[in-house]
Amino acid sequence: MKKIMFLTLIFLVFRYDNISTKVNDFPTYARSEFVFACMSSNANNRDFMAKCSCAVDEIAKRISFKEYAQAEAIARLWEGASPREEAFKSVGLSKEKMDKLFRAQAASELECF
Amino acid sequence: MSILKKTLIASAALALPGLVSANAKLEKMMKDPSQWVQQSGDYAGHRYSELDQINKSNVGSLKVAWTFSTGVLRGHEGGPLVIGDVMYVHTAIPNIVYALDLNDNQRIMWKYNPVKGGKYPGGETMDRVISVMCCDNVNRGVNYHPNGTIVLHAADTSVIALDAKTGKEKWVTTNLHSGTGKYGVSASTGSGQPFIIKDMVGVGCSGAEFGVRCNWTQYDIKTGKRLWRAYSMGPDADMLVDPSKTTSMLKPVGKDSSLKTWPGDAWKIGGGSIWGFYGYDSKLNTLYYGTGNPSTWNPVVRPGDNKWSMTINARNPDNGMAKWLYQMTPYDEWDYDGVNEMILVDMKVKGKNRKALVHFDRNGFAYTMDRASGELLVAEKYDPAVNWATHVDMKTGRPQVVDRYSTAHQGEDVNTTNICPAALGTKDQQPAAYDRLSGLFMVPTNHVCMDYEPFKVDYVAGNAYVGATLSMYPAPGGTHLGNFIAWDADKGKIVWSNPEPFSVWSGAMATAGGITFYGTLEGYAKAVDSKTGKELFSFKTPSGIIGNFMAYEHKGKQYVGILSGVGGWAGIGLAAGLTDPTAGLGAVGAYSALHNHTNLGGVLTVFALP
Repeated sequence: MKKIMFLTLIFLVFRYDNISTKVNDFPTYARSEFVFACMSSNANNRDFMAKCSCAVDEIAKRISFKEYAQAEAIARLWEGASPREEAFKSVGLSKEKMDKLFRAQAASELECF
Repeated sequence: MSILKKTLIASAALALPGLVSANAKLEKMMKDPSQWVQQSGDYAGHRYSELDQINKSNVGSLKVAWTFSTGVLRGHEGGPLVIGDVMYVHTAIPNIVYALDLNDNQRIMWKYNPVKGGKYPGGETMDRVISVMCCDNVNRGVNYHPNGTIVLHAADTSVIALDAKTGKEKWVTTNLHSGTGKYGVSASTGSGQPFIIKDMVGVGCSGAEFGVRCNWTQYDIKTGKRLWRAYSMGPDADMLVDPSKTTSMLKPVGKDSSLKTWPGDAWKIGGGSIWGFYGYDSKLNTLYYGTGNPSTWNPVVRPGDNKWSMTINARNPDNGMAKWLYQMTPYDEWDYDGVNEMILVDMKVKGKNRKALVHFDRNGFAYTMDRASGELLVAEKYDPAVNWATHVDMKTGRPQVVDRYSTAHQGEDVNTTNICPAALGTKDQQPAAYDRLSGLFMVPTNHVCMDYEPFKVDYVAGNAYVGATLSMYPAPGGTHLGNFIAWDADKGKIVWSNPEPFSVWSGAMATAGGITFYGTLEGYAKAVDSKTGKELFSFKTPSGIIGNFMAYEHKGKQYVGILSGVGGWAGIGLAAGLTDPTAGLGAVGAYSALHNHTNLGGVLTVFALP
């Protein structure tokens, strides 16, 4: 399962990855939260602290914090089912913004895991 | 206080001892800017703080003073109250209430959870209530009565009076039965604030998606005894409408004003929910609230004006009798609920001093009315994208609907496209603020359009009764889904407008520091110059903001507070490397496991100057 996902990721990375916006402006707080969440969903050990830290640094190299925050908001809204959330499910704009994050995520997985 | 007002209070007090004194005490507390004693700040719904320590010149250096995690995921609407040295914070379902001691590092003095053994006081399980709850399990906050009571309107419609000191239940009553299968009230829920007037508390109800007939119900604050109930539609007696005295557009409404506008007995499941933010004018002794959409969403099955759904109600809070009614969207075809907040402002309209009521409706029109007479003064679009109606006819008060965007005109199983605004409205419940300095209204808005396809549904008690398929997208010509605007309610014009990537879903607050606060769905808490809209401060809170800003002063220092919390904790999904977000974030199983490790849900962030 995980391997299949990786193949898709590699495809995405080669197809789209473009490190043109090297803003690298994630605040420490956001990086910490990512590492905390990443460790919570994998394992609470030193190995994953290193991998997760690496992952967020790689993501931050590829998208601005503003873009990350927008993608995070969309992801959060996709989860719900009210009219408010419905508004975001079918929005092409949302998909574009998410795709940018996915590409960065894919790259970070290749680099760090 | 004017002599006139004193006399009024004195004479009224003779007739009804106790009633008025409690109200006067609460109104006095509302005028004290160090406290925040009502969800809207005051009865007029201004959401304005007279505190000016934090102002245009220093707001840029605002810092987080403290945070409080509510421990509950999902949407956190409304906001905390501050009474004296105690802050009261509520959460999304299960609707926990916390009392925090501001003198002792926000120590939890008491915590109240209405759900015991998995059940709400009305007997329904929390899971059942969640299954019929629209919109992210929200609750719009508790309110306070000066006899030392905090009132909670829980999701199962229970009205719960708590001792403000101890958190112990004084009384509990279930307003409507959320699951007994009773015709017409089979799936009501509670999300709106309980509204305190005199020695009474009033609540509305949610659930127009489920074929309910909603109402406003007033209870005695001391005993929980029901005093009166006014249905949104039905026979005159049910609605507490006097055919010869209740007016609309300055004329008596006449006999059976509602029944005449529904086919058969469709009014029995007519919707008209009430769950926004309300207003009260103690001099006019009038309560103001708005009713929501008629059921079903499919307009083809309910030809007629569907009165009094989508209506501003002005009522006598003592007996519930309607003084005037104004229906904004007769025969709703788009789900433009009329529930949004009522803001009461004494202002000049077209050169004449008026006791005005300003209302930013979901339908995209901002209404300025005379709140004493119900006269319509101004009705203009507050988003230029609005296209379903060309304008509001000022003689009849009716919106002039464009056939091209009429879902009923287009018919069943036809997809009507590019309707602006979308069903979530140019503004939903997120309340606007009134800036007393500039006289402008600070309005959080949506900038979203939709395609809408009605289809036929049969009503089954307790099940969703929607009957329309929707898809939504940004208004043409842009990629942003929201604007934060300043509105002139006399001229009916936008003064400035800040585009936002997402709908602005938080309540605004203006302050005497010349600044206005609002929050965004990405989680940014922002402060802008109230006169120009220039952004002066921005801080990323842990989750999206759909709560309302509030301010208070403690030990001589001004604080500004805001709840954040939308949906689940997205951070975990993103960080977990889930590349299909719909699958990943929908994976509730995976999430619930993570909840055992983390307690990151709604967060209250409180700011102060360093």
